[in-house]
Amino acid sequence: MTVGDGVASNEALLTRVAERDSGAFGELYTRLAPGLLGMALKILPDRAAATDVIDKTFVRLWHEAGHFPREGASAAAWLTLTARRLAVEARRARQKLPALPGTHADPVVEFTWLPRPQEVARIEERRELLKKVLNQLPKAQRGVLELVVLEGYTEEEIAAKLGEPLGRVQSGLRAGMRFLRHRLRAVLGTWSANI
Amino acid sequence: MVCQYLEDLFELYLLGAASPNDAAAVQSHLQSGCASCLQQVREAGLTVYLLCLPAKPARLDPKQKSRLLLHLKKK
Repeated sequence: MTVGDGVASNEALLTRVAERDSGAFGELYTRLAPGLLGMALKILPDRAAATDVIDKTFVRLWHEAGHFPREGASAAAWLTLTARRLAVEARRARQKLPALPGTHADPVVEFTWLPRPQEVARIEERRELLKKVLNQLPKAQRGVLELVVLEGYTEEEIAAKLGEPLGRVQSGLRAGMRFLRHRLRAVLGTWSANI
Repeated sequence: MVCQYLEDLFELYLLGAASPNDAAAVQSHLQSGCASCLQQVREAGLTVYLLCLPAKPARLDPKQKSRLLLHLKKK
C-alpha cells in the first residue's frame, strides 16, 4: 500500500510496526511526531510533559499496532486522538481533576469510529479552507470548544467555570459541533453549502 | 428518536466531555450495534480529528527517536 512515488502509506508502515519493524516505527515517528508535539504543546505548555505524551503515544503504538484494523482506519487519526487524550489526561491530573471516561475502555468502539485514511487525506488537502470554517464560528462558541478540545473540560465543568446554566453550555457546544459537522460534509464533497 | 438525540452527542462523547449519563447512553446504544449511529460516530471522529489538528508542527530533540527505540528494544 503506497501513497504515490512508491512511498509507503502510514497504514502500511503500521502493519510493519505490528511485525516489530523498528525502521517502519522510526519512519512513522519522523512523519507524525512533530505535528503531534505541536498539538500536545497547545494542551500542555510544559515542553517536557508534552514530549513525554508523544513518547507514551508511540509506546502505545508499538504495543497495540497488532490490534489495529487492517483496513479502513487512519493511523494518523489514531495517533492524533490518542496523543490528545493522553495530553488532556496529564493536564487534568495536574489540575487534580478526575479522569475522563474514555472511549478506549471499549476497543470495539475505539477502532470503529476512526476516520478512513482517504477522509483524513482530504482534510489535509483542504486544510486552509477548513481553517476558514473554524473561524466562522462565533468567538464565544470557539472559546467554549477550545475549553473542551484543548483544556479537556467536560460540559459540567465548563458550566461551573463560566457560571452559566448547564443547559445553555450544552446547547452552545452541540450547535457548534453540528455546524462543524455540516460544514465538513460540504468541504469533503458529501454536501453542498456556501463556505 | 434515540438515534436523533444521540447524534448531537457523538463528538462530545469522543472528546470525553459528555455528562456521565449521556456517555453511558451513547456507549450502550453503540454496543447494541446500530449501524446508522456507528456511521455517524465515524463522521464525528472526523470532526474531532479536525479540531485536534495542530496549527504548526514543533521541533523535537533529534535524539528523542533513538532514545525511544532503544527503550522499546530493551523491553
